[in-house]
Amino acid sequence: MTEAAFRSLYEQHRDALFRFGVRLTGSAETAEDLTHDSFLCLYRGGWDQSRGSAKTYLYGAVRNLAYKRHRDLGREDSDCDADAPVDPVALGSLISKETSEAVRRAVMTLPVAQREVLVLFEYEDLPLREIAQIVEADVGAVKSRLYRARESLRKWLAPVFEEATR
Amino acid sequence: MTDRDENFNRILRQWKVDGPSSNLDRRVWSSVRAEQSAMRGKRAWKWLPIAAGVVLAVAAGAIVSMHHPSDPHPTGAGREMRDAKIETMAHAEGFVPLPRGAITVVSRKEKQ
Repeated sequence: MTEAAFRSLYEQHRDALFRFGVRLTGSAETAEDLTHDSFLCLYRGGWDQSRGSAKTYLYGAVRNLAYKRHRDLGREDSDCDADAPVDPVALGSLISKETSEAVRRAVMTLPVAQREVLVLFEYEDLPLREIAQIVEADVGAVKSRLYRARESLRKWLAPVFEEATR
Repeated sequence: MTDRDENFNRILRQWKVDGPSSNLDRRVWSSVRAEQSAMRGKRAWKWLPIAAGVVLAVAAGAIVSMHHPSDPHPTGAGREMRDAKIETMAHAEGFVPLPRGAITVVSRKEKQ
């Protein structure tokens, strides 16, 4: 890949990938590492043009590197079929302080398989087909995870909704 | 999209994330430069055996030409030199030196 082509892709996708990394891992520092490593993979020629766009490749790289990092740190994610435990009392007190932090906490409590599709759909505005490519699942599975993620968030963020509708 | 969904999305989007620090740019470009120099290094190592082979072949050729007898059938300037030598030898054929004392020096006046 030429330096000019790489620079163009970097400037185009850097911020979005970083945001995705932050919302996936909850850490700006980790998100910077993931963004850096993903672009380096791209530069080294990891992207196969016939398998999708550079954008899809980069999101997939951030996601896979996040998984790898998680595994290397010896953490086990909860099964995507099971709702992660959340403390509604703690969340309620947080909500009264700051909605942004409440949303962050609620999203971070989602199982990672639900969280990644929610972030890509709600925050990055990616179509379901592209999300399916990135998370290596079919569109039906993506829809199902998205539905469950939204239902969990609606439940956990109910106090915020009440506040918003007053 | 229902009203509830709009409300849901509006609340979700209250989780704002700042952009990356300038440190990310520095890290990425420094890694790209390192990658480029590693690639150049790899390319150099790839050509090194070929270059060494060429140098050895030239050196071997020079050594052989220094120690080997000259070509028995030279062309060009070599042939001219050889022909010139033969010509000199042809003119010298039949030359018999005069015996000692057989030379008489005659001045121009005496000759006249």
